Amino acid sequence: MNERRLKQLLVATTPPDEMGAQRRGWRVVRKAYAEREPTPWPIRHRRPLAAAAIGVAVLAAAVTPPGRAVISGVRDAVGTEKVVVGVPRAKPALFKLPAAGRVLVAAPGGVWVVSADGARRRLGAYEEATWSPRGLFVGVSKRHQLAAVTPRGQVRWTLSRPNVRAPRWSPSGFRVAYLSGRNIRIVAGDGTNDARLDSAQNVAPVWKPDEEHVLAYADRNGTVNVVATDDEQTLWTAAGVASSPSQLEWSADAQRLVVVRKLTGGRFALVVFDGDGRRRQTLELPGVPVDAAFSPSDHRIALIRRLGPRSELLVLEADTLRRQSLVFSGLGRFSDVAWSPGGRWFLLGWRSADQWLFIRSADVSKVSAFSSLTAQFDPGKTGGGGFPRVEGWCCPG
Amino acid sequence: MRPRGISDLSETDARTSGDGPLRRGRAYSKRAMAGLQGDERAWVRGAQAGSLSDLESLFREHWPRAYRAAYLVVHDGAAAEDIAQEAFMAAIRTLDRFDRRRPFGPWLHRIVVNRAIDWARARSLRAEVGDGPLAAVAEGNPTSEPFSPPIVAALRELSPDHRAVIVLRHLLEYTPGEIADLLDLPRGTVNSRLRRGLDELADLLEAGP
Repeated sequence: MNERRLKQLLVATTPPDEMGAQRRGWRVVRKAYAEREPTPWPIRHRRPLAAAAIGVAVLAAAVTPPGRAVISGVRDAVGTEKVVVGVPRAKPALFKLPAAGRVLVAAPGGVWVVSADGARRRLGAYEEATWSPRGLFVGVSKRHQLAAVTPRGQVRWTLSRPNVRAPRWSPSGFRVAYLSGRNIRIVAGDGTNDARLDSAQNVAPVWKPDEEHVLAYADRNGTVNVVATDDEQTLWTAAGVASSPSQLEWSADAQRLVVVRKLTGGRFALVVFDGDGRRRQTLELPGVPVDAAFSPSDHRIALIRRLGPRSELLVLEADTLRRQSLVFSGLGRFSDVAWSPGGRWFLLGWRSADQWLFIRSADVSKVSAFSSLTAQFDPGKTGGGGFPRVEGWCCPG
Repeated sequence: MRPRGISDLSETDARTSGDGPLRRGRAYSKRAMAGLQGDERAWVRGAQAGSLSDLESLFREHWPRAYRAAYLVVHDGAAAEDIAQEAFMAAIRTLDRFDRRRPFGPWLHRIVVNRAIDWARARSLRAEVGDGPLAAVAEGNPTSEPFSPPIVAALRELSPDHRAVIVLRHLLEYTPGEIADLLDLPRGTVNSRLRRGLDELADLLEAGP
């Protein structure tokens, strides 16, 4: 049979009840179309206004007392990262956390849990980590292994897969998503039923904060997919302005997904979707995005960006992307930001100054700084001196 | 261009068609696409602006092939209908963000065929892990269709992956390179699946029922 004949046969095939299926399909599609909410006109025109607004906000923060009080405490030596001093009079070690909960830290020498009283426990020679929803377990990964351990370091299960990274425990506790090679995979919380979900870009997946096992990730083409993983149903996708993201984050109430995306020309974009995939806001900003995190209590986003030799921590309201405020600015590189479980504190990693800063979110003049983080999370000096990365601040009580 | 303002497909179906498909599927070759793209861009633009008739034109243009492609991969009419519906629902959800410079069909077919493959794999997995008695009953009454043409019966014997590439290549007329993009596969994998699938299909058709 030649190809032409095959095509004729395929085209001549009549699926069952083709007309009925088409009528039913049209009714469903028409109804969905009638119920959709088109992107409002102003969104397309808010971008330049928002960009102007953030410029004003940054300028205002630099000259207002809270911003200046913090910023003026930073001695900006000119030159490389090594000469960044950071906040003066910082405490020489991490004595305690300013709020309840425990901080999960990934350092070059392994993964650590820091308790509220400052006690540190090393869980093992892992590279990345994720809290289980109530902090009873930690999902950890190293090169070719995914594992679940207790906060005391007891291994509960392990799974060998190639090039494992970015584990993320689902809010239900029953799933762990992770990247392996060029794929995204999901395993049950007890280490069973591991399966490939899709091919994926090297962007950490994020679970929607509900019990439905809905995952957002960037597929191999850079399209953001939001998928109900239990039945592998794609709920919605976002490409175009949201394609090839560098980071994805859900708000705690699952009503907002922010997509951080690097652009050309030293700029980046924040694209905010609602839970059903409707684009709400888009904002372009100058600089390089480093990290973003939603507040645990509302739709504020803490955002780190690098602007030339400096870095900034901003807070934006995701629903408008208008009311940006500069929280902290310093020379060199910030590495990551995390909110305390109650949303009252930021933990800001200042890699260039080898400091962690705890900044009260409601009053940015309150800053607690701790120095020598690299040495504290590499006591035997086996990790090569890398700055520790904050993987999560979890679970008071 | 179809007349505008039609809001209920069932009305027009009743007037213009009897049994069988509303219109024969047009292939998605690049030549065919070239003629379609002007209309299609206008439909997408209109649908984005709120025109139901433009949405209907898009639906009419793409539904038959989407449904048929899904059916030829999953061999289950109800599942194919669900898959095609879900693909259009996904299109509705993301309509505002759709890039009008890109053709609508490949985007839709990517969703349809990938979901169809997933569905077919899941069904074969279910059959492997259990439901033996139920599967046996089902085997005795494979579908609600009284008669399956030999090509459909032969396709059913192939793996979902092989079915998909054959449908994409020979029904929808994508090139192997385009299929590789649609399915996120290396081009060599597409070529080998096509070759093996067609060889197997030829053997099955030759052997007869």
